[in-house]
Amino acid sequence: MNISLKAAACAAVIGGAVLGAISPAIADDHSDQRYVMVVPIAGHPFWVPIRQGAQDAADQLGVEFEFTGPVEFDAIAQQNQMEQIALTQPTAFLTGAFDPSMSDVIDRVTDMGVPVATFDSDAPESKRITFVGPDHYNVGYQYGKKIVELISAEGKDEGQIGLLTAINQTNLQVRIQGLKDYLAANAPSFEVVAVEDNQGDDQVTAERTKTMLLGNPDIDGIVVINATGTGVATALTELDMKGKVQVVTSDVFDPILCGIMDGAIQTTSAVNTYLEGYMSLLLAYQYVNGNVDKVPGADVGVSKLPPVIDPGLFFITEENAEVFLTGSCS
Amino acid sequence: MTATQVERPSLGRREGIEWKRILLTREMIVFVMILLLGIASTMISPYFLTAANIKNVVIGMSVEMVVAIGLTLVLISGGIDLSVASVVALSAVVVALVFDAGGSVPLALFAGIMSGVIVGAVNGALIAYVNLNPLITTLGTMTIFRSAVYILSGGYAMSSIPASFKEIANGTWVLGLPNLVVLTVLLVLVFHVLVANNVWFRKFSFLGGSEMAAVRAGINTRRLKMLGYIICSVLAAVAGIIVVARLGSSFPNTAQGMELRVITAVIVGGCSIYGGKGTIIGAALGVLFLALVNNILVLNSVSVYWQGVASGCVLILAILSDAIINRGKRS
Repeated sequence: MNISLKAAACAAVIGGAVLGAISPAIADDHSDQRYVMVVPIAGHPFWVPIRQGAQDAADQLGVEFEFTGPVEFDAIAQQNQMEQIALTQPTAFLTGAFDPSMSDVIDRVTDMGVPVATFDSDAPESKRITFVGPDHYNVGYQYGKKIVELISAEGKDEGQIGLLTAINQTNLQVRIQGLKDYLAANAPSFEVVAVEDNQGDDQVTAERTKTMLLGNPDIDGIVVINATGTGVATALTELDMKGKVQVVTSDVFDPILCGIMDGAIQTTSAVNTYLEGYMSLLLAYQYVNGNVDKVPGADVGVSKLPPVIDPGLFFITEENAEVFLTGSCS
Repeated sequence: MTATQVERPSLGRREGIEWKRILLTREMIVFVMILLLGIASTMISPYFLTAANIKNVVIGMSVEMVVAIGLTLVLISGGIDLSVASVVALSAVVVALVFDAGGSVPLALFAGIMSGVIVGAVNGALIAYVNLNPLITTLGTMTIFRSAVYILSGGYAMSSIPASFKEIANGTWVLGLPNLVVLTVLLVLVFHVLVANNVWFRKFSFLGGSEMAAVRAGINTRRLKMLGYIICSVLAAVAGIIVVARLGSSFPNTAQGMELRVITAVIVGGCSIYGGKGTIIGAALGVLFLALVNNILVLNSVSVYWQGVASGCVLILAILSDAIINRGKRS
């Protein structure tokens, strides 16, 4: 958690510095500038705070903001859309690089004169101008630490852990590696005994969770690497096992928060995704408008923007879940 | 009866039970495969043949089975509906929106079902009356209905679902079985009997076998096609209602990719993609077969990277067995 807090503090300081440094430029009229965010599974609730953050930044800067992307998790479709939109010469792209092949398309659209800022998932080998998002390895590392804490609090000094993830989302594999590395280095008596594909669907998650628990009856904890904690809560409720298996899940939606308040889920991780959208648009704006051109060495290839900004990670528990609830639970 | 009337053994006579024909039906082959899979799974995993696991499998496949009923009807009639998964999500979001606006349970149910009626009528009208290709039409409406889900929900997940509504799926009103399982079994049985025996429902099979013959027989094929798509969408809407009641929430990405899983299961169950052939019980067995394959792979913690390979191999074996047996029949 300390790592995350430090990262969040760094992000805030850098963000503040960038904002402060360029505030006079904000007064300029750039209303004709168009910033386009392209994401996969564009209708997924995960994007709501990111989109809102970028929209707020665009409103404050007086520029146009568009949000688009394929309805399915299809990296190729996402790349095709970016290349098609690049022909219309938007001011900049904001995108998540959820697949390693994104590096090529980022380079291609950059060469076409459209800079790209990445958020949530990075393409560090590409020509992207900056990345605002979590270190997924660290997110997984924190998951490992949290699930061990929860199982240990039950009086157990060893434990079995089941993981649920979407295997077609390669960035989640990095989280799993971080989790496994934490266990190997700090809690070797805790082991991952099952990894199942939930296809990003809560119905599938519910069925897979129940089968996983039947096949591995000694599982003490479940970590949901993606945003399908509601499926796990449904499974534990149907099996009458709420609280008997410790659950760490990802992201903040009302159904997950309801699962926490109901006792089926112990905690969910929350990356400050609003800042991902806000900061990525803000930094892209500064970059394209030449507000950071005076960075020493910029003319010889020194990055004008911070290569990586971590928006911070925190955990929501039963004590504070209600604060984040936007609707109601029943 | 006179002395010359001698009773002959019925075996082999046309009016007797044609055991060979029954044993070689697709449904029976899938049933035998399920039995073999069950025996193998019981030997591999001690957790397979337990009440908890059976209950898990049955609950898990209920939604897909309800969708499969409607899809089978459309496939039998010679059509196809790729929009079913989008209709599941649309109905789920409509129900959640009604509750979000303070609506009652009957109103939410009505709105969910009506969403199915409307989109089914749209599909049916375009295919039956405008004569558009069903594959292309429903591919288009699949995207339109999914977009409608995102527009209506604004991308948000909704959880303002009253406890009385959750009880519809999760309650155990009959024999201690979850209501969604009872409802699914009832729907399968009712539709199987109707499609197999009811004169009006048998017209779907007639239509799928030869549309020209159906027209010459005086069947209003356009109206029949339209009603087929409406029934299919209404059943998908019912599946959406079940999803919301079970999860107590609605997600805009609900049932993403479900259409291909269900079509695969229905074809495994003996339904012809070209129409005219298939039964509801066969489709249900197909869904059960695929659910059991997934179940045994997960129970044994088979690597997720190998699960796809195993599922694909089993699927090919299932279709291959059918081809071999049919070749045997012809020879």
